Parts: sequence; C-alpha cells; structure tokens
Amino acid sequence: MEKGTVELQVWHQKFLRYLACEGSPPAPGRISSRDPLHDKSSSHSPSSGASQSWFAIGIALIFSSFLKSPDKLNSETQIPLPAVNMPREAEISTNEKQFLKTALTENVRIDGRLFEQYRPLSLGFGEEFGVAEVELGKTRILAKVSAEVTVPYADRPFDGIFQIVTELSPMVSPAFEVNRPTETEVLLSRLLEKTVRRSGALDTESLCLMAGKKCWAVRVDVHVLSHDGNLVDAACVAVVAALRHFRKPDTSVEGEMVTVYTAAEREPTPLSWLHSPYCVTWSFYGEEGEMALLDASWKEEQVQVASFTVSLNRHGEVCQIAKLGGVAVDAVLLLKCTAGATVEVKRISEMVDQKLEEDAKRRDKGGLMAELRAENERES
Amino acid sequence: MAEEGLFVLPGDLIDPSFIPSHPKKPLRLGPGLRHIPPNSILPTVSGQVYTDNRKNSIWVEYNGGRYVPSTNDQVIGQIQRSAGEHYYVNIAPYASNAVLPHLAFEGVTKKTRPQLNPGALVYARVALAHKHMDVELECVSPSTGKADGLGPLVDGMVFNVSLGLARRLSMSKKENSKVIVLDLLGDAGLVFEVVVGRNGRVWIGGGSVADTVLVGRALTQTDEEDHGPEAQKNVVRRLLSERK
Repeated sequence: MEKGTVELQVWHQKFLRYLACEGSPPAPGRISSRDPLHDKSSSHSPSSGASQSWFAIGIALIFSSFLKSPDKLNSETQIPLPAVNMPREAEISTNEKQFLKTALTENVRIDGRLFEQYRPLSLGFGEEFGVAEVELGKTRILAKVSAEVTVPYADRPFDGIFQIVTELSPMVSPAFEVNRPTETEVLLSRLLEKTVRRSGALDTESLCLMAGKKCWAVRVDVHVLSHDGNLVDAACVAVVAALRHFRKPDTSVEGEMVTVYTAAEREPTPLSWLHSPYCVTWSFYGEEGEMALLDASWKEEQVQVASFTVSLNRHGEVCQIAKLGGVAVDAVLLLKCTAGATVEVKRISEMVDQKLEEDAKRRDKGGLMAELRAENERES
Repeated sequence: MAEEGLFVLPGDLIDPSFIPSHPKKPLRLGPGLRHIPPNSILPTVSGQVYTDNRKNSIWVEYNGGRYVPSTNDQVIGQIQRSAGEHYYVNIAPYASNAVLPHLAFEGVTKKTRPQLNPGALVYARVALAHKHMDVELECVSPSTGKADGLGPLVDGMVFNVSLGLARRLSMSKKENSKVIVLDLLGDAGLVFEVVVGRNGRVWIGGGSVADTVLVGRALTQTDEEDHGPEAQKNVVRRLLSERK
C-alpha cells in the first residue's frame, strides 16, 4: 500500500477514536467532562447520536479521499496505548500464535466456524427480577440490576443515577486481580458505558422522584464468570437484558412525601427503556488487517492486529464506534463490518425480545399482569 | 489388568477386600488416595476406584479439578523466562512456575543447550513434585540419557482438554480408556502427531492445518460432551463429511 493511504488511514483511525471517546465530531473549544458519572453530553437522544456518528463517518471518508497530506504523519503519530502498569493477561504460546495466523490465511478457524459466524448465544433469567446470564460459547456473563433511592447529583437535579460496574475476578483468569483493573476490564466498562448509558437507552429522567432531592440510583453489576473472548458483546447483551427484565418498586409522591411500595402492595414497574443497543465486535488479522473475524475467541483475540466494536440498535442506528489502537484498517472494510453488524444485531435483538417474552409469560400466572400494571402503553 | 468398579466419595472407607495384595511388591497408592497411618487408606476425591493387581496399585479416576503435578507425569509446558541455569515453565494456570534446568535435555552441554524463547512449548517429565517445593522438570531420562520423545515442540497447535481425558488418552489399553476418536481419524487417512500432556494440554501437529484443526475439534467435542465410543464415531463421521 502506498504511503499516502496509510497515513490517511492513521488519520482516519484517530478520527474514529475521537468519535469513540466523545460521541460527536470534535468541536473547537469544547471541554469534555472526564467524570463518567455525570457527563453533560450523556442525555442526547439515540437517533441524534446515531445520525451524528454516520455523518462523522461520511466526513471521514470524504476527507480521506481529498486529503493528500505529505510526510507529516509517521509512526510516531500513532496514539500510544494507555495503561502501562497494569497486570497483563496470560499469553498463549508462540506455536499457537503461529498456527492461528497460518490457519486464518487458509480460511480456517480453530473451532471450525466461518469468519462471519457467531458462537451460539444463550440467555437465561434468574428467579429475581433483573438477573440475566449470557453464554456465548464458553464465555459466561452474569448481570444483576439493583435500585435504591438516593440524592441526585447537584448539577443534574432532574436526572436519576445510572451506573454500570464491571468486575473481572481472579476466578476468570489468574491474570486478573481484585482492585487492579486490567486493560480488558477498563475497555469493557468503558464500552458498556458508551453503548448503554451514553446512547440514552435508559431514560434517566424517569428515575427522578423529587427534583434535586430524591431519585432512583440504578446500578448494574456485571460479573464475568468465564472468559473465552468477546466479553464486550456478551456483557452488552447481559446488561440490556437484565435492565429490561428489571422491575423497580412502585412509588407515589404526595407533597414532600415519597412512598416506596413493596411488591405485595403494588406491582413493581419496569424501567423506562427507550431502545436496545447491542455491541458487535470484529477482529482483524493479517499484515494490514485485511481479514475480519466476527466474535473472536480468547485465543484468537491474542493474535488480532486490531479490533472494532460497533454498537447499534435493531433499527440500524449507530450508538458508538470504537477502534482502539492496532493497525490502520481500510475504511471500506470498516463500513462492510458495520453493515454485517446490523444483520447480527437484528438477530440478537430478536433473541432477547423472545426470551424476555417467554420469561414474562412464565411469570404471568393467571394473566393478572395486564390488570396489575400501572404504566401507560408506550411505543418503543 | 486394571479393574474398575466401586464409586467412592472423599473419606469413604474402601473395603479391604478391594485393595490388591501382592506377596512381594509394596502397595502403590495413586492419585486421589491418602494413607493415614497406621492402616487406613482414604479417598480424597470422588470418583471410581481402579486397581491393578499386577503392579499392586490402587488409584481413583476422577475428572475435574486443577492439575496437581506428580512425579513421572509427562506434561506440556510453556517457557515463561530463562534465568541463571533454569527455564521457568508454566504447566498449569494458577500454579507457580516449574523449573527446567538448561542441561536437562538430551546430549547438551553448556554451549549446545537449546535456546528457548518465552512462549516456546516443551514436552517434559516431572522429575520432582513436592508440596512445599518448586516442581522440577526434565526432558531427558536420567538413567539412559535419552530424550524418549521429550523436548521442545515445534509448530503444531495446543488444545485444552479435561484432566480425565488427558489421562485416558495416555492409557495403553483402548478398552479401558474408551477414547477411539484418534484411531478413527488415523484410519480415515489423516496424518497427524499427537502429544498428550497430563496437565490437560494436547499438542497436535505434523499434518496440514485443516487436519490439525479437525483432530482438535474431534477431541474437544469428545471431551466436552463426554462421548462414548458410538458417539465418537458419529463425531468423526460428521467432521470428515465437512472436510470433503
């Protein structure tokens, strides 16, 4: 590949990274908030975020066809990866690395899958509301949602609090330690944060009970039970499914008094859910990242040269794109991957909807739910 | 001839009539059993008790848990680093590294020792396994000075299987192990080499990439779904039909 294109791709990659961090095209003089808990830009609507992202990709592509910058960008302009002093994951042997690479050049994956094939995905719910367990091949994730009444942030008096907490325990791999997050863990929580929280999937305003005084704090705990690659996709399904499965206690407000009812007094209500985003991760292999694999297993992740996570909902609206580091990948390939991801997301979305429906039917003994529920019908 | 039967739980009493007795040889206790002086033998795991009257030995077969090294096990290790006179070798996750002396290879001197980089694989025998000391490995038989197939592994692919399957694969008699998948694949004309490490790692190499993957998939499927001989035939048949 000629040098100009490589540079453009580096630039393009930087642009995508910028998108991934900010969710909207960079504006001059804009100050980004570093606190993920109350971020000013967190409440934009999903559709606007999506159109912004598509718009930005368009701009990136247009730019990449016009820009013929001379030898300004070289290897030192590559963005260094953060986090040097983190515990590292166990590595696979050189024999395995070599074998995996050779096998991919012969179009063979070690588990016999096609390049664009997902592992079998299964979803189950617990007895309690808001517990979801996802299995993606040998990767297993458990997500649990809990809610408590608390005081809202001073700068966001009309919003509730929504938080996603990830935990990779040493049970998963000896490389993980308690209270010392690895890069995997940081990326996982960051991507979930961007996909679910910042895309406005949960209407945080509906969590407000009394402006500036009382609100619900919804917290999702993500536990990784077994790690065989592609934690992000599996965790995202678990988080979304758990949140949609969750029921918070019903409340009523009279003057300055907030009453929280037990499940026996009033039927708990579901969260106000606006859309369901799902992540799809592609891994790239080869000198220039020309081979794209869907849903890489742990061993495959060890030899990838780059990875690309895109979050979409079933309408094909892009909520988030992350291509963090690695080699520069052809922009056209990224667009192809995004198109492939749309198909995959529709499939996942249908699966989750169906499982939720089945679970609701199982719990709805005697068909009383329709009479017990308090909320109004809503188009999603 | 090994005899199986008797399912035991940890702490169960083993019927004395089941314990082999040999006029000359001392009784050998295998994995999963513990001698508590003066005269009781208690299982420490749940599984099936096997006995071998010819060798005057008794042990418990179980599938699960982590790998605990014991002397004379042949394992596949991954070199972590080299320091001083030794390589530090990973033989199991969550376990501390084993030690492999630079000179524990066939026919090496200080000048001709193999240069192994971190990440290289070796097939080695456990020379010393003591609860309170680092495990020691060797790639040469100390009595004959021959490697007997031990040493660095070149190319190929490693598949992880359960400890039970690794043990069954290294059994000499097929009627005991009930693993016929490798024989079936060999009969079907696939060319491959297999190295079985007791630590649950199986190295497959020597053939084409597609065949190696096929053998690995057959093995891991047999292991995960706990297939009997008939089911193994089906797995092999299905995989071979995919190949063509």
